[in-house]
Amino acid sequence: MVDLNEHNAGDLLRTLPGHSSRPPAVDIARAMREGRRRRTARRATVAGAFVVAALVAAGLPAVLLTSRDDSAPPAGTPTTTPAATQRPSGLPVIPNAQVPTSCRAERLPENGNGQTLMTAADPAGKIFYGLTDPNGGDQAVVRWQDGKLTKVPVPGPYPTVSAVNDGGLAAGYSDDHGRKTAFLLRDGKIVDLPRPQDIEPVGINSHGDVVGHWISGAGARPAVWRDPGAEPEFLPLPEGAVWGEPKAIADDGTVVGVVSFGAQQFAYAWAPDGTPRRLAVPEGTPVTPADGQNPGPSVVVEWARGEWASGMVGKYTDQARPVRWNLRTGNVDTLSGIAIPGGPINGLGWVAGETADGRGMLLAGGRRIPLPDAYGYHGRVPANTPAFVSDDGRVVAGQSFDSHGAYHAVLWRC
Amino acid sequence: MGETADSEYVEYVTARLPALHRLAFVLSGDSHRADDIVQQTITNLYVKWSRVRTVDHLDRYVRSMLVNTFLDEKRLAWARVRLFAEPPDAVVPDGGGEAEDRTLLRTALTQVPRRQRAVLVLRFYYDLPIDEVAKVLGVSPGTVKSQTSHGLAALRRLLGERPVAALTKER
Repeated sequence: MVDLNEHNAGDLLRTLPGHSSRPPAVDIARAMREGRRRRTARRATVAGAFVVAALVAAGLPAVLLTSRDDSAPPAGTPTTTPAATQRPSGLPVIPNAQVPTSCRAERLPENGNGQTLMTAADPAGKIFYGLTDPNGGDQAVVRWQDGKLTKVPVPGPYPTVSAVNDGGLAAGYSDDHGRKTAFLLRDGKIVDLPRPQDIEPVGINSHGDVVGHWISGAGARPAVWRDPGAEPEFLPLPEGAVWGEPKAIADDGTVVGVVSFGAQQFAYAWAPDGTPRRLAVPEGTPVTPADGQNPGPSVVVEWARGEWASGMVGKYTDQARPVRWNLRTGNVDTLSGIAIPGGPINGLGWVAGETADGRGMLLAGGRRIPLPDAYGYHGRVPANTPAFVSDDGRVVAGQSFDSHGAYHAVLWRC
Repeated sequence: MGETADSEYVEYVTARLPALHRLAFVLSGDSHRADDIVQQTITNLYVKWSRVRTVDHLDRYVRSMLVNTFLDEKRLAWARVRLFAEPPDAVVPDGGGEAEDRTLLRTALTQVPRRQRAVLVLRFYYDLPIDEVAKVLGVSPGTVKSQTSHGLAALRRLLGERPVAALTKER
């Protein structure tokens, strides 16, 4: 085999297919409708990225645009930091709650500027963060609390608040053309995190430990600030892994996430001391690629809370199915009543998701409780995408899609 | 916007749609994401169409918009709303090792950090010179060179020891 280099990279990359097996689905009329709405919704300010593009197109020097080089990778072994406070040992048990019998949909206030996305919710289901006009020129962070919408001033381009704990401590990041910078938000004020570059926070626990996804040219791994004043700890990857992506952190410091071994992925839990262990898959689930089939089959964990985690197994095969794991016992069970990719899980192991035909559903205590459509039913999937379930199962937060295919942050109260 | 401008916009976008979708698909490795990247790009284009429709190098300008849309894409937005909400593109095995190589390459490329991926695609898939890539991305040629080197290193590591047919012949 010849080593990949600048001279032969073209030969390799040009073997990539330029289209997929399905036809493109782009709607020019929708672009014009949405564009008109956006033009009337704002003054003549132009989003930064496109000022850049315009300068470049006009042949002006792009002095301000020189990016930093990728920073050096962190040390290969995890550094241990003394815990700021005494941590409980073992995964926390969430107090039991009564199983709801029905749920109703509640639209959240919007500022009339395109789509809204739910990006974070606290475990009690009282504080919600989201984005207005995600990916658009007017993207902004908002908070919903007590039924009211508040715009949250956050520094940096394209900010997102991605996690909030029961004390209201929130974590997020700004995104400058793919370069992420992490921050904390305490009582509405920004608190800088040490070494925030290239880390996208994804979870926070009740002690304020923040887990983020560190990505740079040298690879990708979970990074954990166990003390908001100290440098993050970079968790080790198992032998043979090329990529690690965290999804959540439990109150005892356990981190849950996905590890990629090239074309296959597996779900992992890192113990509070950083040791990774692979999560089980249900018996009979394909884990070895069939002939000619690549990527996959993959195991993806996407959500976790307390002793529970949820996601899907058999991804990229016709046997893909949603599952939940109990991190304490190591058991895994298949979820019926919702479709892939599964959905968010609360501290009692209750999961909210979407059926194959786009109906929202809460699976709680052996019961299936429908989540009604907040923006009508239009015969398309996705239609209702839950993103969080509160610990008492009384509040589900997520998105619903309207008749134009635009999404809106919603709550379901059960 | 006047009717003339609107019809010019529709004509331009309709003609460019296949090329834009191809670029978005090669960058993102997923046709649903490609749809969304193109949708977002042509929406942004419509917003400023009255000002940009007469610029020189309109194609380059729009390509630059698309690449920036790809770079600005919010992982959370896709992960929570779209990407995982739909089954992945079917992988159609045709029995040949080449199809498998292509799928492996596509998967590996989607794991190369985004800026580096954009540089690799523009330089090696589209065969654009370094200066042109620098203009599209709004960075210096030096940055394009270093991102190329980082990106190729990442791709080598991701492809591992696996022999890839396209690389087995000496040049």
